[in-house]
Amino acid sequence: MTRHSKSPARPLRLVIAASVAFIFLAPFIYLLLGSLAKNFNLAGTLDLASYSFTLANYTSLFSQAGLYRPVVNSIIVALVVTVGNVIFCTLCGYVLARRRFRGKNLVMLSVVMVLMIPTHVVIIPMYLLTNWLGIFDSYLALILPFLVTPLGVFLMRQYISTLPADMEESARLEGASEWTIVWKIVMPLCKPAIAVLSVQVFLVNWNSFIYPFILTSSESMRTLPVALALLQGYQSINIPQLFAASMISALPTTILFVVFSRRITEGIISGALKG
Amino acid sequence: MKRLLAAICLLALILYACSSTPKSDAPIVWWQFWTNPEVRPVITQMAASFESATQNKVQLGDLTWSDGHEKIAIALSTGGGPDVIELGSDWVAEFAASGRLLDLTDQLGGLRDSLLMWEPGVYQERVYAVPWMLGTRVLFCNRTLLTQAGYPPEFVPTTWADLLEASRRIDVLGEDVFGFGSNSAERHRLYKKYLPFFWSADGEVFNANATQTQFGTVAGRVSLDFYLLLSANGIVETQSRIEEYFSAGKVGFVISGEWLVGKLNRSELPFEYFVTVMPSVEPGGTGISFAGGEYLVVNKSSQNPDAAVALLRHLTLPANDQLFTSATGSYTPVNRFTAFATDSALAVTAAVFQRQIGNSRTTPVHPAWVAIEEILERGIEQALYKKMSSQEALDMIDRETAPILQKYARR
Amino acid sequence: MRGVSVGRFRSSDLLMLSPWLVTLLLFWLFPIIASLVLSFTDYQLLSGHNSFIGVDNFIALFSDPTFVRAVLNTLVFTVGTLPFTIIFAIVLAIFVNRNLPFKTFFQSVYFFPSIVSLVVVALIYSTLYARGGYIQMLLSAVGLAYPPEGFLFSENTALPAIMAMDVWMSTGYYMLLFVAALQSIPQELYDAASLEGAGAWHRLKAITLPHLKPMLLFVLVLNTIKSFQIFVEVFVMTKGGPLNSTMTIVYFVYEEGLHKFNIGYGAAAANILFLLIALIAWVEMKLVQERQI
Repeated sequence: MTRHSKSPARPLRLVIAASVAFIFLAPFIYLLLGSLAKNFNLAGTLDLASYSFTLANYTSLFSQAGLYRPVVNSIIVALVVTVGNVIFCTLCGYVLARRRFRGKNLVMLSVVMVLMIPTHVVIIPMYLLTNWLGIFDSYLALILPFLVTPLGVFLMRQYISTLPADMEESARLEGASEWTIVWKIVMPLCKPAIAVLSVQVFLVNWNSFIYPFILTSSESMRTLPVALALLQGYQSINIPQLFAASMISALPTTILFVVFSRRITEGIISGALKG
Repeated sequence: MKRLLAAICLLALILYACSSTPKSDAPIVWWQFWTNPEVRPVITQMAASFESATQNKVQLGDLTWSDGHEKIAIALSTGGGPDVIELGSDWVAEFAASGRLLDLTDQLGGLRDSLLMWEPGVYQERVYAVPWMLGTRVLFCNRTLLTQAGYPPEFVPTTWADLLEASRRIDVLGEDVFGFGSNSAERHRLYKKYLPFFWSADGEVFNANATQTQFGTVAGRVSLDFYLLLSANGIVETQSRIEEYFSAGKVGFVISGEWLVGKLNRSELPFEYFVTVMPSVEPGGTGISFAGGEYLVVNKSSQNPDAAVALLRHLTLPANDQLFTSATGSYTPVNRFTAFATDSALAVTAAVFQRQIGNSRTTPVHPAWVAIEEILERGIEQALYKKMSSQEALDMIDRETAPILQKYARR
Repeated sequence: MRGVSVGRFRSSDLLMLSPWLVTLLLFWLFPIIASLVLSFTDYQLLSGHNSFIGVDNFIALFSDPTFVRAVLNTLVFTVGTLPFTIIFAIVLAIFVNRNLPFKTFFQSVYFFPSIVSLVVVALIYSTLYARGGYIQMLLSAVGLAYPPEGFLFSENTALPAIMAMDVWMSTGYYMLLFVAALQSIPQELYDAASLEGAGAWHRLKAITLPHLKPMLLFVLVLNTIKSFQIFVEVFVMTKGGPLNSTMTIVYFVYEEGLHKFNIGYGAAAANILFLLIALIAWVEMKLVQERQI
């Protein structure tokens, strides 16, 4: 009782919470309404008095601006990278959590060190590297460098360390190979961590801009954020269309967020506590 | 350990497979920028007609304006790359200077009389590129606003003084009405807005042996001051926003190209507009405009240069030029002998563009133009934002470009 | 003996680790070393010209007004956003954590801007900040001054406008991290303090803030690394203008290295950025560790 008396009354706190929520949501409401608006004021404001809905902004995007390919590219890249991270980070996490051999600590150190490297610093060599490897402007350039992320390895290692090892031991005694152990025993136990990791990796790659931007050059290889950023310079694209394209980019993340909201927030909270 | 080795081999194999594309029958590889559905079929059609005429195979590659430059640079820097490439007019000198382009002077001399706008394709008196597609910019005027400002219905601004006065009178019509649509400090666009005025005032960017830019001259100052005055009597925004304001009937004048005609004609306008050629400094003079061009070049390391050159000839034939022009919606064919056909509603507009292309210039030819352009735009920006007087800004441009130009002059 | 099998080294260990090892060598170590080497050359991609020029690039950078401006802007951006983001995040976290009804819902809403693509956010704000846009309407409604040409076209407001957007966008994310830290504070501490008659302010100072310290350090470093790499906002909203007022280091690296293809010069700028980040993160760690709040 004493604690409640010190804080503002419940209704007042709800009002404050809702106003803050409005500050964070208002631009997105504007985005949604704008993308569906038939008429826009020149300054980019909406004429709410004469507001009417239309889907034309969306349909014209696919017919005129060719947004179909970037959407497909984004889906392919984000999905493949997510699957890759789930598999490879689990494998690496397992070895780092369970096995003992010389140099293991060095590998663990490399993971933690790389976590701290600012990625934008190496855009020039990454660009040259993809050229030398002959994968510039291809799916490989957008996928290969991101298949294993240090954060993923770290998360999986941390999670696997908390699991009891008894089942692995008995499987090993029965002659199961390390691969079977990871696949049949560790993976199923890691489901919660894998869920967190997948959502995280998918979001990051779906939204990623700078690498897809510098590692591709042809229109057919663009991902959605790149296409979006370059659309605004087009003479024939107006604000409602730009908003519609933005909605297409924001929609999957929003759906993921609504469905996995707890997973995402808990993932960040627990990840932060362990790190 | 075996599995490890196998994995490494596999990885190496994947990388190898990605890096080497098998070459079969050695087609002519042609990189170009036209991917939009209205134009793309014509590109394929022209490639097909070339294939059937010459037995050569053509393989198309797509580029984009945002990063095509980078992609071409990489491809050429490896010593490989496509046979035929479409280049923006301002890139030719840069690639020619780096020694990656085939000298076409002897093989294509004959085309010089039929095609327009050779200037950007020539570097150090040798021809490296063939003009393929041209576009110029004209003055778009809002008739309705002019009438509101008290001008008679036949009024057409022909001089700088006309334009400035009309902008002034329109600008005071209302809070949300603007006289002249002026480009803000938008990178890679601003210089295209300033140079036409500079040229109209008889300015020349370089001195005779290109060791110095000449912006700090009377022509430089007069034109910059005029541009600043126009900006003060109008709206300063990005080009696409200015065009939206014009399309909404809120701006008196805007300088733009064919795409704006297309955009205006697609929508129902609450006002009337017309286009006219760029105004001149004095009555009876000539107003110069900025032309953009797209040029075709041949890679010096092409395995089949003769076929590549034949493709250039094929693409600029009047019949193909006509196909291409009508697909792109351009009003200015590149070949003098191309018959230009359009519906009568647009004939007047198209005539203005055709008249203007005769008085248009392109980005000055210099291998270091990218660097010069940056300095030029930075200088104009200083004057636009009133950080410097126009003379100070222009002198600064000349001062900063000098070391770059002298470095190239000595080579 | 729990949890660890003390087996001999197996080839499967190496094989399982190899994806990370390959990534580490190829996509992390190699670029860093290449960047270091390139920064001492005048490598030009187009002509293939490449020779060792010692520290010339670094000397040239510090007399390049655009680069100096980029460094200053990046510092202003970081120093100008960090305190706001962190203070707002802590305040929100405490607010959310104190038995707020629908806590999970509000927490998610506040966090939402951080999961939307930065490009999308930047596009929305470009329109909001435009001439006659909603933010101008809002400011004129409360009687505040604003640049009539639009926030992103005025030299004095372009960078602050981007900074404000950044604070708005990242506050929710750091709030979540602080919520996590708050939840790890044992409730008994508060109960004991209440029994001793400590007021809310005292409990905040004596219990909450000290317990937030490790997270504060983490957030500081994380946010510094992020802020120093600002690029997308600039690319979408201003392209570095007007008058280079929003030119940042990464944007400079991009322009020099990948637009003008002065690879060596761009790489040198990137290495300076790397050093700056390392230095500032180190200073932050020292500061937070030494100050016993």
